[in-house]
Amino acid sequence: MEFVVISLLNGLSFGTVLFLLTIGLSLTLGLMGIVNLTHGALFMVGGYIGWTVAVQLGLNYWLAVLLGGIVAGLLGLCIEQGFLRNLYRLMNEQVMVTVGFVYVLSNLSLWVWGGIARSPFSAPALSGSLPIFGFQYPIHRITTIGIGVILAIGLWWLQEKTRIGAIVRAGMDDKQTISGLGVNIGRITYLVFFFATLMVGIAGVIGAQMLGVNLAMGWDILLLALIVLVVGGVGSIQGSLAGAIVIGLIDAFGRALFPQLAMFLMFLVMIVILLVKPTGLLGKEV
Amino acid sequence: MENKKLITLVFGTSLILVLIVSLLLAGACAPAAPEAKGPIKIGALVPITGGLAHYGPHSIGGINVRLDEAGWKFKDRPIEVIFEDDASFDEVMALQKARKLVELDKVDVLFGPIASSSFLGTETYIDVVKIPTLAIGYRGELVEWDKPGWDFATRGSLAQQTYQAGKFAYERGFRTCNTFGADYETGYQGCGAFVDGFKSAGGTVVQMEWLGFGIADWGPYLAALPDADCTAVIHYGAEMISFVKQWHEFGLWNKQPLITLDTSTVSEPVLNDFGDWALGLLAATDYHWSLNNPINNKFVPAFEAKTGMKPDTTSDDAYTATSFFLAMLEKTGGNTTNEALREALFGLKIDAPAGTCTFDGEKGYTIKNTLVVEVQKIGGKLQYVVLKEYPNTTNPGYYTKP
Repeated sequence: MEFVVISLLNGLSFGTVLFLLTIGLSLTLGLMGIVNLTHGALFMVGGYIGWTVAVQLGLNYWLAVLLGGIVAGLLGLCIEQGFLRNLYRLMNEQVMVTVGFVYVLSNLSLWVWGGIARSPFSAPALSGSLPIFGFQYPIHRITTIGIGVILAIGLWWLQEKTRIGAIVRAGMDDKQTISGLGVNIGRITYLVFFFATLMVGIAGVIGAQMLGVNLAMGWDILLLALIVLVVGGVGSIQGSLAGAIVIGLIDAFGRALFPQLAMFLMFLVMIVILLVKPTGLLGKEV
Repeated sequence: MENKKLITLVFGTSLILVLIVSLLLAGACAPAAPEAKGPIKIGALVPITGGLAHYGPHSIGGINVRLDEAGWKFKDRPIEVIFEDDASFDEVMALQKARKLVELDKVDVLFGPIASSSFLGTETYIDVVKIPTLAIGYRGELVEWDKPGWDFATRGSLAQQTYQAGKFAYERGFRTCNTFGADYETGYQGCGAFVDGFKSAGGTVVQMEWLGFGIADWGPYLAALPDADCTAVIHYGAEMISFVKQWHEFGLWNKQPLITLDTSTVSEPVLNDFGDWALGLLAATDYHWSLNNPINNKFVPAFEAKTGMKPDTTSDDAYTATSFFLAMLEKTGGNTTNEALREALFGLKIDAPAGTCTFDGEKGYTIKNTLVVEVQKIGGKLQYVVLKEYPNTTNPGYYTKP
């Protein structure tokens, strides 16, 4: 029983990080048709900013979360406004440019923060452990799950119950019609891009509680995000959440029960989804 | 008719150009002729970017400090070092840079690369061009034990230190153990030798687990961990740091003491990031800056003055490789032909910061001291303290994945 509970908590906490990581990617691909492979590097930059604020400067952890998000969001906006806005519908060019930015951001991070990997960090109040079925379980993982639940509800409400959410959903279905109705779709798209990269920066600081921060994580975490995107589907909060939970749980139980097959299991799920439902569990056509 | 002449002219010119280019390339690829004059060149493949970038400054510092001591020359010939970035784990980049150093820069010896994947990318090329290559980093697991090629494990093998750590664990009172090892050669050698040492002392192994790269969350492994007196782990990069942190977070620190089989990733700056809960961590290594011998007593302040950092195992490796090279030149009288340098290395004995090192030509690796250390608080900072020193350790064997 304790094994099941601990693995469930592991899966949900890791799944929450994947959810925060993938929302932005799902929205930019769904609304703007942009394949933003800089997403993983922005996760890394958010994490480094958070480390600087919370560890090096010793300031409040939640301030670190906010600043990590804002810096990643602004960087993302610069990339979109300066480069990607000229490359809509040019997928090969988008891939080349965003991959280039991965190298640029990785080497800038090396220059600023050095090559040593940074240890996982959290708010002092979240640094302890709670006894669960005789097993000590980190408090920060439980709060991460809570943050994920609150954000998922908040974002669902924003998407389903607000005018801006309706415009974004309409824009994903038919950009030209919504434009014809007088909505400034250009402004909406770059706001969505900023929001997407803000979320990935926040994910970087929250994820740093488990993963730490290091120069190589941009590529590693991007791969996981793409798997979640394929499994959950593009263009909706629900899709990102579903994909993240499925992958998080498969990772947790898979590594514990079949360690040698753990990475293979994620890809197996992705292959099955591509064969059975190519748009993902809850995705839209892109 | 005119067209025919034009075609013949173009074809003939192209053929001549191809011949000229081929001759030039053949000349560039030819082994370097012995130079009576001109600088002696060292080509160093070091990780300046990528996941092992923190080893780069230590490698560069170690080489530079040793050459500072030698006055950057051997007899009347200046010594030059050309550093190239192998991008850590990029075997294609490592090979490209190795080719550039050998064929364009005409170096007399290669140092590095560090990562096994980068080494594998260059191994065949090194054997084809027959350039003596001194390791910065463990290479014992990749050496052909029956006939040393051209790549030499001047650091020795990981198994040399982890075998002793296995015996130490039993002496410490642990009777059962789990192991976690990176799922490639270094993991097999490190954990294999630890288990060998532990079992030979009388211990029992409960579980050996193999870990891939790119693992973000160790929670699933820790949830399924069986009970044992201790756990030994070998992995690299950020994965190792998050493993140790999560070991503590899941309440295993006091339940199952951890032994890390190499200190290069969980370095002292990282320990001080962790905090006081890291006290008592045991580790196996082959160097620590606190060792008291004449070479190390000179090396440590010189390295700190040059880099602003305390030297670690990589710094010592780079210094030692340079010392071996200078000793090879001494033995050959300055003859830098590949065969002369290779022969000079066999049986060579030098004093290094880690102690006396003897290169065993038959086996192709270095006999050297290894250490078991423990994290303690000295002067308000966490650091490794030497608990036991094992002099002149040899490689216990070659280990594969069970």
